[in-house]
Amino acid sequence: MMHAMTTKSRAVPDFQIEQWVETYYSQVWGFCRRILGPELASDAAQETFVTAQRKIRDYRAESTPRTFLYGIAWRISSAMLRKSKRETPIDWLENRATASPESQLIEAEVLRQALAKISPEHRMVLILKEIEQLDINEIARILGIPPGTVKSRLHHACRNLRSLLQTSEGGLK
Amino acid sequence: MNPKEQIRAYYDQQLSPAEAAEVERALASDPTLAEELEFYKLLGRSMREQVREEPAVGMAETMAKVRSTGNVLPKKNWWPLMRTMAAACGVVVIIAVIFPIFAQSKNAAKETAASGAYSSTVATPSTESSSVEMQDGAKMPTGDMESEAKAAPSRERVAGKNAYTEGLESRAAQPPTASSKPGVSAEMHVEKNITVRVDDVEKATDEISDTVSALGGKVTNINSSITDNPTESGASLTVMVPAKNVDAFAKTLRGMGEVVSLSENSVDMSEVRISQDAQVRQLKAEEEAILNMIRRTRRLSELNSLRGQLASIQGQIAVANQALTQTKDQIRYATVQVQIEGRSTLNSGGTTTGWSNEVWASALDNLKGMGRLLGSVAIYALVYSPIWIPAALIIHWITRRRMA
Repeated sequence: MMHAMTTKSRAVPDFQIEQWVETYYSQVWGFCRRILGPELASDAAQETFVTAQRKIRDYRAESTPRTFLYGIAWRISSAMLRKSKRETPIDWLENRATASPESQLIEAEVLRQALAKISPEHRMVLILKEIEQLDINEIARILGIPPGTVKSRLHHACRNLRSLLQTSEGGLK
Repeated sequence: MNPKEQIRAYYDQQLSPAEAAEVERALASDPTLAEELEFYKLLGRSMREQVREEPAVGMAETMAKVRSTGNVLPKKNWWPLMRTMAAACGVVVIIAVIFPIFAQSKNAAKETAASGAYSSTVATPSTESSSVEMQDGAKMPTGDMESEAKAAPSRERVAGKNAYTEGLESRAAQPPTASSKPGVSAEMHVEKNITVRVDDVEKATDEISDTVSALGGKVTNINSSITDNPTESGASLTVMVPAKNVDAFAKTLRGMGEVVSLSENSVDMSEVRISQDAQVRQLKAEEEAILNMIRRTRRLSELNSLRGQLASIQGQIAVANQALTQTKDQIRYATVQVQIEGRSTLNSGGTTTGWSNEVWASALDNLKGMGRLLGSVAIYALVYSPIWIPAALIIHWITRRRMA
């Protein structure tokens, strides 16, 4: 996974938006894809960078460019999801589970079903925490909620998922 | 805190070293905690390692799009600042509009309270004056009872009447010379000064004379100056009107034109009248005593002396009676000083009707009101802007931080 750009910069960089596109497009696209699905992800990602270009003066050095871009991408993707009246597709997991106890994983299908049953808010903090590997404050900034709420959602998401996985066939033993 | 509650924070590396050490001790002793931690690790690993690897689509298009939009930094977005400033200005304007209304209503409430206080007291006989002055050019509507309502309380205060238990209509109709309050005798001499602006001074003077006669009064003095220019014409009349008809006379004057100013002065004549009455009675008693002495005397010298005293007393009685009559006349009649001013008609032909006059005056009043309002807003904006600018900047800064 690409997490090299999480280093916090302390000054507003003299950047070009193209640099951001080159560096962060894949990550932003992946994030949008996990919210909207592959069909709408490109539109959302493009809209994210166009919006970022327009709001570049609002960018503060306290957050990383990725957090700034993810915040925009989250707002755009949420709006598009609401507009399309679709549910978040969870087709971004593919099974790589093996029988080896060292690399034991929850089966992708089981995990997908469990993730589909928890609320979108809980799912989003899990995605940002476990897949994007962002810290609590960054997640809070992206979603526009207090860090305490992020922790609470994370706690409830894990508890619900564990409970669902324990009762599902092929889940936790 | 309970280690069980901290296990997620421990996994997220949100704990201090001391807290982490405590959780680690709990993990070593509690297999359920270790199991929970293992679940978090397994969940994270399962999500991360099973994410479908897909190539990002549309990067070239996005690059082209941002390049076509422009590679330079966009112009500063002034909208949030403008929005904040607009909100601040809105608040200032609301204050500018609401505050004068509030102050006005507060003054009105004070006046009402003051009037209420007067209504519950019986005033000692004294001299009071009330005045309803208007700005030059301002028009008092014909038949408007407002000025009457303003003037009435002071009269009532002097007379010791309960001004607000009686209606305005009854007050307007009631002469101010008599008091209806038992045990209180107030005999007032009312003096009014009215300045009225009319189109035709000569005609107005004649009308006033006729009206005064019809109301049972008399014109005691007329000074008039009539010229071809209506604005330079004028007249001054001193009229005596029966006190009970003074309001009817004032109403007639309002009907003639535009009342520019109206003031009223009421003097309590009760003490003067009682004193003069007593003096007359005393002098008459002395006269009676001297007459009795004259009837009883047998000496010629004494008789001559008494006749001299009688003549003196009778002279004093005549003077006192005259003064008493004058006082009673002053109580019975109100003195009204009428100043008549000529006014020019709006149209050169002098055919302006009352209707168009009223429309014009109303439009002018509204324009003046608007000017005053704009002036007030400007003053408030200038006065309060130093306060609002930092407030607006703080709000703007917070908004930007939240957006970031």
